[in-house]
Amino acid sequence: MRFSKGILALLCSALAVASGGAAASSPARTKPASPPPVATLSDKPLSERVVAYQIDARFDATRHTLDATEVLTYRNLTGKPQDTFPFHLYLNAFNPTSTFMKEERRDSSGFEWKDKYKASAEVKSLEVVGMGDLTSQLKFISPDDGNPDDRTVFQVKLPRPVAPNESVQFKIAFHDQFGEVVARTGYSQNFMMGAQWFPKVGVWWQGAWNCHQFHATTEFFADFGTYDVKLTVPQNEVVGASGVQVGEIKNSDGTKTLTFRGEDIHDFAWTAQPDYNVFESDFNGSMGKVKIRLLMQPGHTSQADRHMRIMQKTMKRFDEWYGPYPYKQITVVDPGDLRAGGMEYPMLITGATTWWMPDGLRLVEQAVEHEFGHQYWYAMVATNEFEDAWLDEGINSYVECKVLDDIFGKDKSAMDLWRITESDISQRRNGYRSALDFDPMARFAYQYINESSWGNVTYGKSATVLYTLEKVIGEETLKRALRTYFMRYRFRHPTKEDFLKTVEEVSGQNLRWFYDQAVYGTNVLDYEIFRAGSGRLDWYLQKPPEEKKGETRYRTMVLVHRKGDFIFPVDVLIKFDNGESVTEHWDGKDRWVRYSYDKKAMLISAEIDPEHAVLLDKNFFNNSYVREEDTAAKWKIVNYWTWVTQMLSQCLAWLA
Amino acid sequence: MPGLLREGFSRAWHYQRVLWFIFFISFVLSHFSTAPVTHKLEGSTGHSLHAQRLTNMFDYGSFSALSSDPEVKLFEVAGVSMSYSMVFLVIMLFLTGGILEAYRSGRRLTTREFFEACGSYFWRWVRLFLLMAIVLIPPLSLAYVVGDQSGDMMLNAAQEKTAFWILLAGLGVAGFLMMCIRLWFDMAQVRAVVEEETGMWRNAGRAFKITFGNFRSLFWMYFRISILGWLVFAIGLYVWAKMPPAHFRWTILILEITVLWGFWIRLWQRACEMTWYQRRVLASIAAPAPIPLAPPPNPLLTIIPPPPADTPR
Repeated sequence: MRFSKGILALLCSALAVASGGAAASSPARTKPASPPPVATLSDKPLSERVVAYQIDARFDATRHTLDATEVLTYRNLTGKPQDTFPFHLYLNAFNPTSTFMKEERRDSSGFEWKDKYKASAEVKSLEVVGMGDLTSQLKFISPDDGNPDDRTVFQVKLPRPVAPNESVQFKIAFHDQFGEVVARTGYSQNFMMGAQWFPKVGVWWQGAWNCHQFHATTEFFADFGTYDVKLTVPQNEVVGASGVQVGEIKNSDGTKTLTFRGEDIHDFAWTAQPDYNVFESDFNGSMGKVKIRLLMQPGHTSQADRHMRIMQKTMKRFDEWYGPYPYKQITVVDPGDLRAGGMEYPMLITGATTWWMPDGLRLVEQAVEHEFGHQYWYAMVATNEFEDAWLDEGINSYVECKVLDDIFGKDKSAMDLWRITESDISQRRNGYRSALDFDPMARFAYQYINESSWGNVTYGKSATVLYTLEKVIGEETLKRALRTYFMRYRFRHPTKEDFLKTVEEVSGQNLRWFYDQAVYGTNVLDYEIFRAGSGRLDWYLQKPPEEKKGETRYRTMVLVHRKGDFIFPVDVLIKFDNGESVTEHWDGKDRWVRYSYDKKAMLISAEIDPEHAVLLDKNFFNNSYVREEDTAAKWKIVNYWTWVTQMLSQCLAWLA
Repeated sequence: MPGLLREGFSRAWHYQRVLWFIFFISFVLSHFSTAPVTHKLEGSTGHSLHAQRLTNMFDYGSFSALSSDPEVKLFEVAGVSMSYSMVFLVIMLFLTGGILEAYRSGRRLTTREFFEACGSYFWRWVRLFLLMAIVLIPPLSLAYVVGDQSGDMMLNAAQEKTAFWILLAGLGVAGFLMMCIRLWFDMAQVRAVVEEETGMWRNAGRAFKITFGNFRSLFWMYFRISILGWLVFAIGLYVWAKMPPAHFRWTILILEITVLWGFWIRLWQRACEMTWYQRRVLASIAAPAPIPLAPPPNPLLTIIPPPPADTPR
């Protein structure tokens, strides 16, 4: 056992778990006493801890079922009496008539339903301590689309309200049937990912309950609290979970019961597989030592170093740039099925790799970096992923690009293979370019025109917008703004305006003009050099003198055109053949601007945004004009195209 | 048969102008097919500084941005290339008669003779092509099924290596079957030229018997040439990958050599098969006719001596 954080802490934690039943017997009017932190590096609670979950679950690895009891202690900090409580029951999304599956099918016509995907979570009983058994009061609701077949949200009405600052305890018995993994959760062979597996109460947010149905494009939103989870699994299973493990008992029936404690987290996920290979190392952060626990697939062990390297480098940059990672552990899972990969949970992330992944393809690094980033932008800064998906995915994608650029170099952060290179932000930007003007970033995730637009805007456009924002306020200022935002809103549920105002505050600038177009609007940014060239000033002479470099006077004109409806100030760099260059600054408010120069020199080139900082510009190729035509790029592509056609011809000619 | 590859090589080399002719047609047709690409790129890259990211390096992000630009949409014209490839297939069907006739005769045909042969065999090859297309359905289906199934398996870490090997084995089997079928139909073409066969169904049946009656030697002949082809192709790609992106004229040259080599390999295989078949025919002609053996003496029969020569008949 590598968990040696003090017997006292273990005892306190164990007592806390053991006292769950007793505590559940009477409603508490005061804030429960917090035991010393076990799972965090802080000596005091980091969040308000609205909820405390005590779950005792038994997993049947053969049937892929789970039977559990859950005691949820909810502190009513809403400031109002509450008598209705909504709960997520997201495992029910894996049914053909659910909203999730309807949307999945709508946006990917190739998606085929298979019975093995079917999963369910059934509440066997629900009792509210002091109010009796309310199982018969459970009612499934569909607040987002009214789908009567969707059973991913239920609510229960209590016979009497819970007063402000009072606590209420729900005792729930439930049964899960996992399906083969389709998205994020479920089994695949002997691999098991337990996510969204227990009834989880909604969030009182902005004066109302916020408990959305499970959608194809949405993730999660929940309150911070503590999790004491006992998980009974077969003894041969290697288990990873949110939180830290604080106990293990071997049972006589061939099972073992593992106890986990999570603090100041808002979800709990776990994974089990008998043949995980476990690797561990420590990261020395500014708050103390963090254990990195890596669970690798047997066929991927050669990539363990690769995973550890990117984790260390990523954590170092996050620690320096944005703030400390306050938990004692992070578990990195190399999932047994790619459909469970690339996902984040508090203190547990899943990566994505294959046995043959070449070093030059940074898919491993992109996945691991990105999912670790969510420990900051989701797990700690817990934004509403249904309504402000860009706040976690977008900011995280931007940060992913910055971190990978810093590690691998700007042009090679996504690919450096066979002399073909690609940057991470270039991938994100190309995603955005394919979904330019359907949906604003500020739209609810499940209201996008389709899954593709949601992905390309939420990840791609948001990252591109933040890169472009660097041009307005400076890279370092944006980094400071993100740090301020993180430190101010960690363990809280900020809104998009909280973020946007933080950036304005740190930069000292009014950025509404930018937000209105980039975040709330679907404006498209596209500038072009419409026309550029030099002509002799003495063009009207019948017999003009012979042209001489440095003596003949020319009039150079450059016409810059704003093709899109996004107004953005840009620089225009104009170079002349006598070595002179001029940088013009245009506010972009009109549709076009003309620059004119009379010089003893001709134009060499004109270029909008010479620093290539306005990444929102949808077309970089029309941003410049070079007087001397260079056909190299064209011929290179044409020649490769010729070769590919020849190869295709040769393959077909094999039939002759 | 000793020296078969060498003799096939010699025949193909002797008539190498057909190789250059095919390569030329392939290059010209492919180049024609790029006309819409050239047209689409002209406006975007010629005067753009950003285009240098495609020449001085190969920035996939910039290429992807360019190819998906609504004003360019490069891959929309992929159908044009496909059409030109189909035209090339028809041309190759046409030329095959002339090529095989040249290999059969062992001399340089006049242009007239060559194209007369092309014309006289064309419809026979079309019929064989249709027959072969039907025969190819099972191995192609196998490749599709294996690809589909292994694709699903590859999502699972416990099965991904198995899936890879299944895919490799499946494609290997499909490739092997396709090579056998090609060998068979090449034999049918050779036989049609040598035997002046016109009935293609009957011809395919007889070619089937010959091919699979001599399968080991024929397949070994094809296989060795194919391995050489793949080896040179792999070396070409390796050299291409190692060359700096800015030296694209040289990289194109390397890639064109791989195309030329591909055509050469195919012609060599055909020349070898023709040589093999002709040797076989020659062998059957040169061999003395079997002498009927005298029946063994039957003790139950009485041998009657022939009558004297002067006996009147």
